[in-house]
Amino acid sequence: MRSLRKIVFGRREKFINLLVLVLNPWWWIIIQRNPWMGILVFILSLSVFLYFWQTKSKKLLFSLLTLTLILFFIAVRDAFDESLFRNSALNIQQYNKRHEFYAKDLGKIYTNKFSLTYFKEYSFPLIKLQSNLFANLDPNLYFFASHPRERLGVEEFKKYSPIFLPFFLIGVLYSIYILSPNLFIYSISILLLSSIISSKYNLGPILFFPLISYMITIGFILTGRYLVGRLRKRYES
Amino acid sequence: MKVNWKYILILIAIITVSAILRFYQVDNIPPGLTIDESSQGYNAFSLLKTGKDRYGQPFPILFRLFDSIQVPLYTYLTVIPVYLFGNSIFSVRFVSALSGVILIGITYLLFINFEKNRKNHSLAIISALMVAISPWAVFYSRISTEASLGVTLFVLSIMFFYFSLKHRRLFPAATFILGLSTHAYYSERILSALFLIGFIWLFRKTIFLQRRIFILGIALLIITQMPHLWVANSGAFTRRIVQVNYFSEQFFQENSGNLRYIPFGRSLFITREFASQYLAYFSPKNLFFDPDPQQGARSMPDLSVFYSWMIIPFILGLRSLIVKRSLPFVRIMILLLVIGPFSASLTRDPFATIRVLGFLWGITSIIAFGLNYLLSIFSSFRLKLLIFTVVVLLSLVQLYLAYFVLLKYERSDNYGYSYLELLKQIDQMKNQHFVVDSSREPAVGIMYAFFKKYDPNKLQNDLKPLVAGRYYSTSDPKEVYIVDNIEARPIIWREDICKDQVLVGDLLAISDGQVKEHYLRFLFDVKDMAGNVALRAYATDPGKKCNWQK
Repeated sequence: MRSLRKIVFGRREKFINLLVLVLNPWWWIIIQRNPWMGILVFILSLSVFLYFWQTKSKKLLFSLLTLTLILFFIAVRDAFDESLFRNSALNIQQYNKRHEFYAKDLGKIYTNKFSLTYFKEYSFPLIKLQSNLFANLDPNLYFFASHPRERLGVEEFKKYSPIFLPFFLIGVLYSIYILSPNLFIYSISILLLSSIISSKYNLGPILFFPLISYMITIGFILTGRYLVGRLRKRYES
Repeated sequence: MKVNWKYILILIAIITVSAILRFYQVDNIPPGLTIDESSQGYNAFSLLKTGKDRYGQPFPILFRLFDSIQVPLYTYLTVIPVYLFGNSIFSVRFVSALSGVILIGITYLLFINFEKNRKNHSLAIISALMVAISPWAVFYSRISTEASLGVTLFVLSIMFFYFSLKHRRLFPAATFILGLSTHAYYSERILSALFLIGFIWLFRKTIFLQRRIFILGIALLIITQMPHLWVANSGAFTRRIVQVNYFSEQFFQENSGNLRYIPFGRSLFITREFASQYLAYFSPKNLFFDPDPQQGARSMPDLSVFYSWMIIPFILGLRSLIVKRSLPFVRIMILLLVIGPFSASLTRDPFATIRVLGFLWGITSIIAFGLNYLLSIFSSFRLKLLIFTVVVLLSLVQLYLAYFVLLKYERSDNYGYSYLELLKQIDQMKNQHFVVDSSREPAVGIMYAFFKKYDPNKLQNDLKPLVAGRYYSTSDPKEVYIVDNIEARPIIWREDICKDQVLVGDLLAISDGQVKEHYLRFLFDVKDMAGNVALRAYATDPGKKCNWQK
């Protein structure tokens, strides 16, 4: 118990992370709609921060991956994007039209077995996967409820206050600068896993919650360090 | 400097590819002309013949376009291709396509000077190639838009500004070209001002070493702005931004939600709008996946402004920029990235790519940085070449399918293709009088005047009284275009059915009920490229319909 308390409240940086986790509308919405998911995502977010910012412990990595997988499976169970493998009437109509256009312009380059199979079987699921994947990479989704490009048929809700945005950007730029392989692999994995979860999920792109919170936290920490450094310099001079 | 023929040959190959991508079938794809293109084309023709635009205004500082305004440089330059190649789609788009090719040369020159090791030109080659094949660059080079000329001039000025850090005498040339770019596109007016302030602030120590040259540069810039000062009070200079911004009370009342009820709500609303619009230009979703959401004529199906794979070199490129942030060239690039979306963020249209071409050029350069870094990981030249070739070929295939196939069929309506087809039909029926409904295609009259080489003096006589003495200040006069046997205007049902003529309109203009009610006789259909009926032509029957009036 003491060690857990030490991990959670041991340093000020963890306190910042806790504040970021609690002071955002997204977590409260998750808690309201599914309390267990709220607790799970909270613990996972804390693990992400501790592992990537402070302790590279194998135990922490193991718990982080386990919690991520649990979260992923729950999200998939609740909101697997079935449209990936089921074409709507609009898709089919578009497919038939495009089939005509390609055949007219490309001739045998298109009407061979390979191209036709790719176009009929794989092109739409691939586009939809890509769509889901990039939908989660939209910062406006997290800070402005997707404004100014709100999505049709998706319940858009505010996830983080726009006040956090500058810190998020600092965190992202810092992470790109450091380019930690572990963080990179984790981010890519989350990105890929999230692409099969429907964008209409009422909890939002929940797998990204720990990562976004992490970026905001390190943005706060780095800004704090910079300001303290400046103040110290001024005081000394 | 020793000439490296290997790189010269590669550069020639890239410029050839870019010229093919920009000029191949440019008169057919996109099919037709937009409202802006039609206006530029006819005004250029009118200037060539009479020295006045279609409203009879001699050498305008800004060109009228219904209730909007067009910046002048593109139209003036279009006089040359119209003179050389006649009134055609190719002539109207020529300046844009050529600007696109020139931009690649400028990019190469800029990057080659950045690279310390002159023997290795890989970054310059990659950046030139990325600009050559980037969807945004190809797309905007193939429509006649002032924005593509604007970005070329703007990047040219960046090149001179960068060179001026070593050769200070180039500073006046840089400011002059920067000033010129403000006459090429709206966005450059704000972008140029911000860039100049940022550049002076970043390199103040170097610039102020020779104050005379600095003052000369600023003086030249002020001279280029004289025409703007001339029309500053007319309302024309700011009309476009007034039309598209979100600062008005009405827009605030309609879109601010709960912010209406709190103190400083309007300021908060404007801040929120600006921040969200600004952030949208950095969104990977917008840059690498979703096409521009504006009207269909501003994007291509299923392809954004960059290819999806470019997100990886983009991230690595950002890292390179952060690592090399102390270098002057990189500082200029960072400045461009920060200020690039500023002017577009003042407008209410989300992710309007046409307003941020300078910024998109900056993003392309970052992608080039990242790709150069990625390729440097592989030591084998052959492997590098193989990976590079495969990626470029796959991109070109994607571009071909989206642009040269799908756009042609799925977006033909956005370029007035069916009205062009209608013109062919009208030419075969010269004895008939046609009324073409222009409710949803206001440019149709200008388009017909351009293709039929309609005497500018006649059109000026029709239009001049509408704006007499108020060329820059009036907005939205009711313009009717009468070109030989064609009248382009909204149908006036009370009058038009009592004349012996042909009424043409889209499916919304003439309904089945109206056909029955007014005894209209079906003549022919005009289909768009996808095979859907776009326009219908009906002959009136004044004898049957209007006899009771007599």
